[in-house]
Amino acid sequence: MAADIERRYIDGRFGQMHLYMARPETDAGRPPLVCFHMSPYSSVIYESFLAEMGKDRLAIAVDSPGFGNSDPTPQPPVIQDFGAAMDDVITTLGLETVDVMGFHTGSKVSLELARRRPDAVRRAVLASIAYWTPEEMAHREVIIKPKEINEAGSHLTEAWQGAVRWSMPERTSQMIGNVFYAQAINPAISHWGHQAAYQYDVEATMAEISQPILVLNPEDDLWDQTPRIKPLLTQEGSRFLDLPGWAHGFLDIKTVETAEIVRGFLDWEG
Amino acid sequence: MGRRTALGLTTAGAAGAILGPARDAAAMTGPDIAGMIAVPGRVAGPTPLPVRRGYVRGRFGQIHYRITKPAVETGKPPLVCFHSSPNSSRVYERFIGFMGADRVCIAPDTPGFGDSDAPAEPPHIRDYAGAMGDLIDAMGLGEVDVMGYHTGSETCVEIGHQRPDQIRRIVIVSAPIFTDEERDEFRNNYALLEPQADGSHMVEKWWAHQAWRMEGWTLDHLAYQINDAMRRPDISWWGHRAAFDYPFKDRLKSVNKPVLVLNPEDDLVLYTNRAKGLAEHLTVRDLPGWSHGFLDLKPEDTVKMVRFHLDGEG
Repeated sequence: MAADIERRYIDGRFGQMHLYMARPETDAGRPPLVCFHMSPYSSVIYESFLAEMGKDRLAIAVDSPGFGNSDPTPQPPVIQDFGAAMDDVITTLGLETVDVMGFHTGSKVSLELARRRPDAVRRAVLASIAYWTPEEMAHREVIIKPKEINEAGSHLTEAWQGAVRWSMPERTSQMIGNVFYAQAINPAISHWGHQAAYQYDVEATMAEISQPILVLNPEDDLWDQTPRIKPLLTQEGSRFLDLPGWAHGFLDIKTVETAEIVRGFLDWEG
Repeated sequence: MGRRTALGLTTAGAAGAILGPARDAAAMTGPDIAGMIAVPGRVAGPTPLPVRRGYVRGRFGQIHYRITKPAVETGKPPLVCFHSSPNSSRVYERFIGFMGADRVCIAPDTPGFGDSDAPAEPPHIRDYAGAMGDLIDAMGLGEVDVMGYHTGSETCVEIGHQRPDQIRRIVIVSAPIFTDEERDEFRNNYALLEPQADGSHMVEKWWAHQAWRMEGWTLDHLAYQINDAMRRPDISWWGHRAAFDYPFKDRLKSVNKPVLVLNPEDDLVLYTNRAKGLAEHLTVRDLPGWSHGFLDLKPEDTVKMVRFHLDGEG
């Protein structure tokens, strides 16, 4: 039976942090898994997955500051701010050793927390990650603005159709509808997550960390981007897994299969 | 089909540099204005008090709430505020940021809305009132005043019946007194709206909400608030369903509490007018020119009216 999900708040440096938790009835002795969501969205994308992973370990998903129900940073954040806020969460919860998992922007939050807390973060699972080298960044112009809201409501249909475009075919409108609201809980600052993600120096962080990393590469909007991280996967025990045919919604549609893959990596005695 | 990045930006041919964290003014509600707390992204507006959130357990699972408290305890009964359908306690976010200066103010999310767990079956107003009673018990509140907005108005009246010794005074925003014909029509208008592959189901809601917004309540305000109406499309109609099944007129007439009815010129003004002269314990206050969004735009004026009713003698 799936584990029950409980939501709660804890206090962090930017205010209240909101999290979803699922846990087994008896402690299985495995490190807790802490999950970070994509931008904009919230921890709601992990709801089915937590219920599955919570069967044999404490499984947590945390709303990034300014997303879901977590209070925002006072200024537009950088990934280091999100990492610090997540550090507050594991510290407040008294979690000495954790595994982390990220989805898109959340993959960068995972890496940042692994860099910041090498003593606490054991392994990391990254579901899709985009990055540019410092040289590429110098030649890119990325301006991320809040979405324009109009009387006709096209901002809503465009966002919806964007979600549909990169979803797995099995993902129904109802399934999208269950999480869609989370991409605009705070519409005026919904772009802050992408803005932070685009500036993060993945290469520098990857050179600093030694924890084993599993990269999942579903066939979503980062399918072409994610493999670029392969040369940086020098940490012993790291792996890369293509997931052709999988795309947004796989945490709901391929919940058990994803849990199997993640458990296989986290519980591997390497 | 060509691939694109998540933001629609191509990865080739762009030149320049990544911009540093822009201090984009549009996202900010401004620095602290005259002692007010401005939270980035909180379009409802700045408040003198911090608005915090939490959960308690009720009969349907977790109940999510927003809360404000005075710096010093005043001995006044707490005010518990019930929102309209299919919104959330965000409706009250700015108002309780002012109202909490002299009493504890709590705005829960109705079960199935906002971040409160849903009942297993479509509930009735008595179930919503029961769950709100669970919150009052879980927080150990004792005697309380209650305030409601549209569907929340019905919950106020019902909890007044369920807990006659605990509910002191009532403030309701609009009194939805419908004829049987009107109920039937509304049931059809507010039935389940299936999500469509093109997203068109949301556009209808967006347009409908625009029709009743108060002057000054911008599209940004609306986008901030309507987000909650997008949640749980499979059950977001349950609040209206319960509201249209509730014998509100009779229950309002027989609730033996002082009731202030605020009557803004919104989509319920014609029905709320029917509350005038209905019973001695009712005071109807017309609010011409006010409509949805007044709790964001007129928090101080609203606080004055509500305090006058709650703190008045007699």
